[in-house]
Amino acid sequence: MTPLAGRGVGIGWRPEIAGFVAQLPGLRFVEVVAESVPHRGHGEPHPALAELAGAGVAVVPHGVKLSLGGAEPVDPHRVEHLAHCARVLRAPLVSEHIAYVRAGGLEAGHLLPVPRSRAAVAAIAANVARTTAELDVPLALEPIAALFDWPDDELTEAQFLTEVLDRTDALLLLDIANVYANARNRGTDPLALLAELPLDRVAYVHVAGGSERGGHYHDTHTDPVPVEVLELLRELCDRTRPPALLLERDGDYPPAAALRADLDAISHASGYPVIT
Amino acid sequence: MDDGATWGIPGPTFLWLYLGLIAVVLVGTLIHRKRLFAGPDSVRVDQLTPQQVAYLSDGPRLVVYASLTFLRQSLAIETGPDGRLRRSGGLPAGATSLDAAVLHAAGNGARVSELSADRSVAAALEELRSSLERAGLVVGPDVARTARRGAYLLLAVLALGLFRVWAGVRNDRPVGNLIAIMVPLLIVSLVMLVVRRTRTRAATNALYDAKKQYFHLSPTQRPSWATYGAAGAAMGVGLFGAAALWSADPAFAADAGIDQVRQRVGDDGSTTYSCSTGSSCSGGSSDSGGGSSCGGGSSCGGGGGCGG
Repeated sequence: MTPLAGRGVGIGWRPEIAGFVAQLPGLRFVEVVAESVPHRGHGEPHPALAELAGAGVAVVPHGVKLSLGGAEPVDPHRVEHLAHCARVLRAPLVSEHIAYVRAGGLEAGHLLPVPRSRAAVAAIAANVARTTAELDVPLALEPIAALFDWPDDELTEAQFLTEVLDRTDALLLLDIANVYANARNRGTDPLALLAELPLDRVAYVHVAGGSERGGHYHDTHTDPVPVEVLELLRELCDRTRPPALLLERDGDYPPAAALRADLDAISHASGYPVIT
Repeated sequence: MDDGATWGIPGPTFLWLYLGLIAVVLVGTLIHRKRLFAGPDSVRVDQLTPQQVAYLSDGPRLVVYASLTFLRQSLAIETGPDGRLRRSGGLPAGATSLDAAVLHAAGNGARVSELSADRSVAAALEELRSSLERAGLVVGPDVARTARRGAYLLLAVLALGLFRVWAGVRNDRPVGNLIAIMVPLLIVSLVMLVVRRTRTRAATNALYDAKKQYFHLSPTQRPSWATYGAAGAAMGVGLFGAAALWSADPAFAADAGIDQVRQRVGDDGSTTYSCSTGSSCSGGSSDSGGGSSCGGGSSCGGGGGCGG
């Protein structure tokens, strides 16, 4: 039984739209940026999150700064914070990215792609082991969107992800908009990637909007979900039934009706009940 | 017995009697005022409109700001280069009579500072005030007059004390203790007379509840007005003051000459707001929404392209 089984369609909780999220009648699942939750001893989680958790909504902490893909070991304080988030929010699982955000003491401020090498797989597996050792709940790993590949990649994207999941007990947080973006920007077939991924390890799916700029598709999280991404989501749901799906919107928030339309479109594409 | 006592009552005896009189009148006055300012037993917070909330928070000026916010968010008004209002759309759905009056005045090129002097705006504001008074939320002139009776009684007690001081001085008796009692009594009486209560206790409680219920509209949450709509934005201004308008639509707030608000960051990192014109600021309306501490940091996952 996967932690979010049957939770259906959810939305990334952000303070800017907290009032909208709180009033979604069918909501059973949200995600919160782990770094926005106060550290232990520095305050309580946002009252609206506590209220959602109290009402039985699964609140999943989503880390963005752990740097699991870094060559150096993960910062124990950040791991401890992720574990703290899961405890205070009574989360059924937590998620992080397969990426690095710092190296040699420098903060990139972005999620940077890891070279797809066997050495990188080993480094990630070691960092995941360090992290899950402190967690009381499962960890889901999210591959990131990248506009470029490293020249020394030994593995394909699917091989790389499969290796990482094989070497760890982590689940997969599949970002369908990233799959679309990567395939489109590299000129590859997104369905081929889906065919090779271990879809039985999917914990939940991210869906986000993006836009085309300068010949590249950008996974902006500030635009409506394009039809092409919804189409790919439908293809995914034809192959597997994801336990849950989450709309990510991180800025340029639209009128409530537009957010509802995105949520409904995800419901229709996935076959889960409408939550609006 | 002290035969030379003023009015035949020795000083200490008079002091005790006088203190007793003060206690009786003061307690009676406080009970009287408590009942007068109680308001209704329960208020349906979710049925309060943004303009009602604005009136209860900070009076008519904030009501006008809430109305301007509603009209602005509905794209019905804009500001011209000279800071005058202009009409840019029709009367939005859900508009109140005040919104209609403000929109009409905007169509005539009024400035924000001139709005409350506009006859239809003033009439709509008075209509709002009297409806709130009928609901027991705003302290009306009749109640305020009744409430002053207690203070007048206290002043009468004070006058008795003054008379005694005058007599005591003529009688060459010490009056220091009596004066020491009268000074605080004078202060209490004046405070009761001068400080005007604008809303009932029920209204204050309702505002407190509303701030909790609508905490997501607080400027500290950087609320998305596009998502909450024009009515949500107006509620944000009604509850959290002009600071909400300044943080969400600074260009309009500046052009229209909305009262500047000082913004300061509290010790706990939370942002609090206070008005520049202290007199019209409702007491203790600083955000009490339940101690959120959305621990800083951008909520956007990875910045830039986000990626995840």
